[in-house]
Amino acid sequence: MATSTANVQTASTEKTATLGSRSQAALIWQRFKRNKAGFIASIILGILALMVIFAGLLTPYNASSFHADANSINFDYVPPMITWIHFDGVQPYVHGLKRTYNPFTGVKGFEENTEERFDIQFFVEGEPYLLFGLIPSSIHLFGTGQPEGSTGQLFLLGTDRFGRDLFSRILYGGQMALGVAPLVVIFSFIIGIFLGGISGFYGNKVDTFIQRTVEVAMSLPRLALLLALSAMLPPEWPATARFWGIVVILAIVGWAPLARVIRGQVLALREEEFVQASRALGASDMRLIFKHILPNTFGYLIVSATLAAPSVILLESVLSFFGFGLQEPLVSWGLLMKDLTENFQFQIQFHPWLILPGFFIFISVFTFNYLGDALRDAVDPFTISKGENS
Amino acid sequence: MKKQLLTLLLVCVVGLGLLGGSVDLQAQPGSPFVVPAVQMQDGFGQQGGSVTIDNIDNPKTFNPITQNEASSSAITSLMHEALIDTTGQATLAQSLDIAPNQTTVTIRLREGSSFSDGEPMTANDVVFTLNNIIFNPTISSTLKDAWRVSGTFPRVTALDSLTVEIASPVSFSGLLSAIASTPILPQHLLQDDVDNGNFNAAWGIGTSPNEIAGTGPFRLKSFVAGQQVALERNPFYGKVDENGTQLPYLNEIILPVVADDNVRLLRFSNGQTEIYPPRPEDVPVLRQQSAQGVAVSVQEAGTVDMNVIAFNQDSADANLQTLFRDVRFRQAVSFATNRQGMISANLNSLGEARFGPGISPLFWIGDDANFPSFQFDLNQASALLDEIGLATGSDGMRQFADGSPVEFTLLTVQGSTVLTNDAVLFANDLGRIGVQVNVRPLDLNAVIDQLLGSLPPQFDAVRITINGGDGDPNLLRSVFESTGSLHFWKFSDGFGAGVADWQNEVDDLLEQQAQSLDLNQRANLLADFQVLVAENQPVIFLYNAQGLQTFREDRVGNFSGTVENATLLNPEILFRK
Repeated sequence: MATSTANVQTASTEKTATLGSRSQAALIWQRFKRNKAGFIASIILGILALMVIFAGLLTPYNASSFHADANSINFDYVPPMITWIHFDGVQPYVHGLKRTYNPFTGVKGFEENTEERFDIQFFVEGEPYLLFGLIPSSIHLFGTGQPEGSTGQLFLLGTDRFGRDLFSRILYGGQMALGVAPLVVIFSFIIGIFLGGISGFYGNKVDTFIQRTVEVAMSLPRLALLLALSAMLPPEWPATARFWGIVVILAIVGWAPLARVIRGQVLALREEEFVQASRALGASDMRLIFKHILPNTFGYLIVSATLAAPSVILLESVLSFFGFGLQEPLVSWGLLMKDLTENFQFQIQFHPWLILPGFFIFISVFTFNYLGDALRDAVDPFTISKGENS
Repeated sequence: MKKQLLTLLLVCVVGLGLLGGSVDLQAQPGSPFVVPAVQMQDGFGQQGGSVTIDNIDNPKTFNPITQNEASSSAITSLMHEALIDTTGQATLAQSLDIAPNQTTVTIRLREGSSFSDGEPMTANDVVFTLNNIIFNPTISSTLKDAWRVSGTFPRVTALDSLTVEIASPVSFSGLLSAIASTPILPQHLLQDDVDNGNFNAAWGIGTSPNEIAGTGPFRLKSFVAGQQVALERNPFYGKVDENGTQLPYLNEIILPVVADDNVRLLRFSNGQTEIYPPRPEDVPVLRQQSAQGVAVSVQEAGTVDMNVIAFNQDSADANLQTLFRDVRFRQAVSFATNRQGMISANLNSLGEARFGPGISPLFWIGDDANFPSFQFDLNQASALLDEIGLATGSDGMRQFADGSPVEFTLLTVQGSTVLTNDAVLFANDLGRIGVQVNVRPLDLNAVIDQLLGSLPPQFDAVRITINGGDGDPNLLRSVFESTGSLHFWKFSDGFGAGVADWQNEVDDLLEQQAQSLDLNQRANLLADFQVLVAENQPVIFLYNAQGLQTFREDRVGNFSGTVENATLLNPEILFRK
């Protein structure tokens, strides 16, 4: 008890002491940095984000190159080659790939052909791609620089049934997962802020009406609604239109809890003195809501945005997993997991590396949650967070 | 996987010609048919016991005439049997006489034959089944196509209570095949439904088991929707083994409904089911369980089914219509199709490439050295596209003369891994010759609707499986004749006029072979047909899968295989060890 009182005192003295010299943002940043778990999570997430943004440059291949030659698919189900990288001094190299065949089970595989050696080169010419979807380039950060049919390939995390590089597919798939999340959050915030703001500000009948609507929206079974709405997307839509359709659907399903939180915030803030003062000066309702009240809720908005993101990533994965979300030729983590489960026993027994996309879903959801927690603690000046305790 | 077999189901019969002469192996009147011991690879069984095999879905009907998908046929095939077997031998019938003019078949029924409810089966039931049901214009059934010759049906009359005469207006090579595929239905149970025009809905899944009867080895015991169908032995079944033991051996066959492929595999691995038709990729998993009594058998690739990519030659888009009707384009696409890649990636290498139509092994010439072949060759494909005049644009993609990109949508069936993966691979390879293919998985019924629901059809292209049944050439007529009901890629006015010359030739060849009774002559006509179709690639033929069976050899004897998922072959001799 005494400790916590002391801490509160520390916190408040610190606040008063630094109020003049440091901005609110700096304070939040300081508190955030002290939360180690959140800080590490944000670094991991940052790296992940950079990786998927620069996917074209970082990956040795495109997400859908099959590496097929005239007769057959050459490199189906290559195991992860990350453990097959050797070093000659500082020069990393890989051996050529050689097919193996198990006559008992009939399963094909690959092993290293130690007679061949291919140096891993950096900034190597390879398959053409569009960096950020805009800039045409064919320079890849690393790769063997060998032509399509060569046995000297570098599949860091292995390949799938068509010989598509899993590492490349995971990074390109991450663009979908980590791209869907902010888009959905923005869309649902637009709806949530507007309705929540109006509801909280006007109160009375408007408030009752919007809040009952929110309750109805929140009591609808979320997954069932999602599946139903996605099944309604016209099947003749191309993959990219479908992507936006999914974004809108996820936003429609996700706005309600946000509207409720915003309404609570607005309800409290509209009685504050600075709002009353502005009202006395004759400011319009819209000015009051959007100029004075909502900016004061931004801290909460950022936090709830961060906390909403992981559920969006999961929902997109679930949708794609059930075949209602994104579809080939787009790549997403959910689609990659779907690939694994279609012949689960076979894949997990003979090609266990295909589960790796699930690991990336886990990491991103996990870090988003930690980041959200840390941000919430940092933004709320009255929270005694673990970071400040330590 | 589970749905790719349900597409465009034709009827199940085996290809046999009308060879003439009399087939009368069992002269003893009134005695039951004796199943020869050579058919029983594990010897005689003992009566009793049950076998469990998972069904992919709830049956939609117990009506063997109107059923058209695998989850129902798995059950109706156990409850109903035809008068003769697929080799042309009289089994439930006593004898079969083919008149010297070779258009008339006289069938003599066994004395004392009865349906599974104990009511006797007479010539009137046979006449009722054919005249009132199969030939009835208000009843929809794929069996109709098997019975139709030169636009009409044979005349069926009862000569006495045990003798039926079936007379075809012209000589008809498919007659025995049609008889062997048609179950005989009980007039006493179905007369009212036929009279009321209600037959299409008769014997629905809500029907009480004692209102359903057939001549097959098993009869319906109970059905709980979403759980299982239980079948019990038909005590009136008309076959015995050489020891005189009444067949079937099994007391019960249980068919639980398990929709998920992985769960079915797991249940079989755990010993909850005795028989499991595996997916190609289950084979390595199950081979490792041989110590636990799991037997895996891999058969030759079939010659009957057709895994195809088809183009709508009546497309509303003028550019695409011209392109799809151009044989050079279809040949180019055929060259650009990586069949070995599909077999390797989707069938775990358990399949063979095909370049021509599926047909019964008796007539099949698809492996001849001179048969047209379209081995994967992107250069040849590109050369053909150049010849058509599809220029390559600055982005490397082909363009029509008006500058619009060469691009089309390829439908596949949602939930079918194999179909969709084939389509993905196909789209990738066509991309390499500059043709943009957008793969679109749709619900099976939506796909069928786009193929057959309207005239002209709406789709651009589709990856689909045509289940050829037994490959009887007469069944192919509904697919390959320009007026056929399953000729879903069209390019004709629907009445056989305004079609390409080679298509006219195909129509002629198929009609000629239907009326020919000389086996050599038929084989020659059908060889010409196969070459003609392969050269013109009206649809792009892909591959055939090898037949795969797994069962518990420590528990099941005389297992001779399954088709279309859970449909058991020779269920009457199956026994429980």
